[in-house]
Amino acid sequence: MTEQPGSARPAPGRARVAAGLAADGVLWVGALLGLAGLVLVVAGWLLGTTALVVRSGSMEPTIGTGALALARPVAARDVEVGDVVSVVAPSGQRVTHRVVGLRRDGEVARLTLRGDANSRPDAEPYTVSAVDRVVVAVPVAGRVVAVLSSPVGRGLSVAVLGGAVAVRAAVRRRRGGTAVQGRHAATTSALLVAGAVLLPGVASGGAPANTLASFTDTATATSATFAAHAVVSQAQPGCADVNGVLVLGNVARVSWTQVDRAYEYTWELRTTSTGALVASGVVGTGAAAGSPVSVDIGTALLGTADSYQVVVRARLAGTPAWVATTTTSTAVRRQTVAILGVSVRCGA
Amino acid sequence: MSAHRAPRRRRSLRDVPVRVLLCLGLLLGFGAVGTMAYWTDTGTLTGGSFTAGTLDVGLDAALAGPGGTYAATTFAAGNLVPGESAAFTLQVKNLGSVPFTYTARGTSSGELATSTSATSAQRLQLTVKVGSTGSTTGAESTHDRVGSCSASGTQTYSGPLGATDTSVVPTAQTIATGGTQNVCLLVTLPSAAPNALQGKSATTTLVVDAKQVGAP
Repeated sequence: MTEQPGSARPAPGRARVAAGLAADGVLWVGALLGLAGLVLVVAGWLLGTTALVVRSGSMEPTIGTGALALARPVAARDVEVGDVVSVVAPSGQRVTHRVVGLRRDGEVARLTLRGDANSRPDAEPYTVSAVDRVVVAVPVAGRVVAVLSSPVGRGLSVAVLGGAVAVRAAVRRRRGGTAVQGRHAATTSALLVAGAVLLPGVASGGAPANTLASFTDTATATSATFAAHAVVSQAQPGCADVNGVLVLGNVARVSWTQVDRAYEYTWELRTTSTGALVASGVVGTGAAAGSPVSVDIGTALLGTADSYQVVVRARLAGTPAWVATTTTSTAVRRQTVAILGVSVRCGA
Repeated sequence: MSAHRAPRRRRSLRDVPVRVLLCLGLLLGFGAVGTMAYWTDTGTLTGGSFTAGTLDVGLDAALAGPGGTYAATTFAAGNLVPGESAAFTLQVKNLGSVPFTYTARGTSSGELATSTSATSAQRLQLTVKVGSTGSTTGAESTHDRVGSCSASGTQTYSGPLGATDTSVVPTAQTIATGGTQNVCLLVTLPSAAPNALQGKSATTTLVVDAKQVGAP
């Protein structure tokens, strides 16, 4: 432009001044973002750092969701417990957590990781020969990078910055100024835009990577008690002499009360002196609880001895192996009545 | 626009707008391609959400917040005779703001579950069925309890539990944010339970491990 310095031109309108200031503001924001982008690029070239966009919050409060973490690669032998490292899981997902367990094996290390906000470590350990160790995390910056790197974000940022540069240049031209000033303005604008556009380009080129700081939680339920039944013994049986039509029909009726409908009872007739088993049977199956259960000891059951014990043991009718641990018993005896015959009577 | 405009002259590279626009074009081309060579990282940046929420697994609406132990007092049965069984429903709930997947493991202690006087098939057995509810017919007093899990859902485990962790839900189950999944727990005292188990007791502990969907 071949304008003379100080040539008389009408002062720019307020709208134009405002537009110029707004354009300036946008370009400053673009410049700062561009500078940040350039720093990321340079750090990546010089130090091999990786920028990580933290997508969830299991490393809070140390690293918040949406933060941008800078990590640089370290060999497995330089990793310490307490470091925050970023690894790529077999699934391809990148995880950034703190090292809580470490086992070295030559050049390789097995790392157990846990997020600061998680109550338990990650399910599987990671075996690595090198990891990216987080050096610094900048809150919110990750969200900014994610927005700028999306296709919409990139298009918008280029359009907005381009528009701002055009507006600024137009305003400057209108306000006058030297050719040199114009060139400086153009160079500055170009540098600002370069950085701002480079940042999205850097981002989508793969440098900042998504990482999860993934959540876990554990819940425990404890039961109350599961208990098996214990067979309960019946009370001491009572005995009653019951007379039949004939003396031979005189029996000793041994009876007790059914403890549980699910029980039945084995009874055994044993000689008092030797305990030899003379007769036995099962009685009471299906009897309602509280109802009487009895067995009649008649002469046909007796052996040669005179004195016997009737021993009763409860058991589960459905599972006969489950028997009561104790028995109850009562005594019966042979009674011989001259001419009339033999009876069984209660008592020893 | 002023009426006294200077005459238009031809544009050249020294013009601000032209230069800047050219730079823009150059940088767009450079930015998209040039940086690809410098990083060989995996994972794509585009797409994906920020999840600044909480992951919280609850049981029967208890255990809000991380970790915790829930005393499931109804998960019990007394006076079991061989052949009896009882079924219960445990609700696994997503009380947080992110969807999760969970697996579960169980242990049992007490002679009814661990006695060496019985084989593992003769001791207390547990059947786990996810997506199902449990119900029990009969009563303790009549010794005729029969537990069953509803027809829906998938059985994930059936067998004894011991002192060491047994995976009772090995396949990860997904629960959406705010969602619930019923798990049927069926406890059986086998008919073959030997007399040595009379009067013995046991308690069972289940641990639910939940992790964020998409986490490795």
